[in-house]
Amino acid sequence: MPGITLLHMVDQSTVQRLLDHVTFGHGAHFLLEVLLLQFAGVFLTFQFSNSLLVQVSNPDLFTQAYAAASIVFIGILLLFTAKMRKRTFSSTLYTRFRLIVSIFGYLVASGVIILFGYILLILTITGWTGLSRLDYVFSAMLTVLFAALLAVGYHARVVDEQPSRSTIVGTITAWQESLSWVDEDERSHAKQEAYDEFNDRMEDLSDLLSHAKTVEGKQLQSDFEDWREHFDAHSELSKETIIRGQGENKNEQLAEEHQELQSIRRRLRILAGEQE
Amino acid sequence: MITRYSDSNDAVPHEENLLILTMSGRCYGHDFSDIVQDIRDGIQGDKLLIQEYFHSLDDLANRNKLIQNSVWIIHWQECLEDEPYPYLKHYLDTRSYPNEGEIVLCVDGPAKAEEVRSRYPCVAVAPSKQYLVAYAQGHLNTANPACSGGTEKVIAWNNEVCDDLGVP
Repeated sequence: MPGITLLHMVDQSTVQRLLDHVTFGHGAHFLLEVLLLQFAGVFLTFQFSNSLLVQVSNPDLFTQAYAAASIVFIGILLLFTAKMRKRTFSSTLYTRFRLIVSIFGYLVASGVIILFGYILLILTITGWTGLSRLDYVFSAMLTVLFAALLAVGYHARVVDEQPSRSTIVGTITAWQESLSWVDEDERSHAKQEAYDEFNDRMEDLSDLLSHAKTVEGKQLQSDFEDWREHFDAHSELSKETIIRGQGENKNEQLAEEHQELQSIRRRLRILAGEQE
Repeated sequence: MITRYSDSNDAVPHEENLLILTMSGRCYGHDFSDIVQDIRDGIQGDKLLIQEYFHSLDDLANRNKLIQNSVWIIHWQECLEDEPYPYLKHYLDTRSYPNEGEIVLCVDGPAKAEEVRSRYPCVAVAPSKQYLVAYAQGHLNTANPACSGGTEKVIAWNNEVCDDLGVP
């Protein structure tokens, strides 16, 4: 039974991580809401339209117009998704590959509606032979449009609830820089000031990470708070050892805490845009 | 950086660092980390935490770091026998370590220990792992907030280091 529970938890976490590519930690409710509205739109179209196939006098012109509109919508989708992921605390979402996964996720979510509409409302009535190139381009445009609509909707939520990009970068950079208190001369007043500054920046970073909503962001927050709890309990000499690292002979516990710090710093550097 | 203790609440719990000066990381056929674990196992209560601190032998001029350790465990053969580190020799000759601190020289064998003891009469010389553990535990359980008068000793040691470092 514990094995099944663990498997269930792993699956849940994996699904949530995948969903984060589209929801960016802001829940699947909005996604579901938009998808249901789109389904409603498809059914209403079916109810009140005589023919669901696109019928225009100049198909080539409309094909070009729909294609141009699709490109604009793709641009919107790309722009908003790219900006949105950089307001999260999930370092893997910052990679280009994950951006492509997010875009793909939006396109799949909206494409399902379009596909459903065609299968249920057109294919069953007219068959594949009734579809022209214009219908395919129109469908593609609608897919990208709905995807952009979803991305813009999630972006609005992210903007409302997440710290700004400049706050994220500023807070992380200030914390990283404050770690240099260990390099100050032991007997200097500057060391005391730098140490006080470091403690203030620790508090700021803790506040910043409390906004984490994605699975990976929450993991980073949890890792940071766990590390900080242990770190705060150490003597100042041990704290310096954790920050600096050790030579060949090592205190294993402090070495592990140093490694954990390095892992946190690596993820934070990505969030601050210092490395891919 | 080290901060001054103003009352007993500041000193509990207290983490104490054991300075270990060695090249090999081993003594008496054991890793120093394992020996420190034996020392740790003998600490009374949960108000005193122990961490070993391996200071680089290339940086012995940095006395500011060394004096933040109340127990100095020094591998005699590696660090003092041929006097390869003048700073370390100077610290021991001039007793340039906190009064509340404890120095233990690790020497393999009682005969050699006797010779070293005559050379450094003011410090403890441990001829075996058992002696080293006993000396360290003896000191740490005296300066232990869980023991009678221990909190005062911890505060005295901490503030003596602060005085030395000019911490206000």
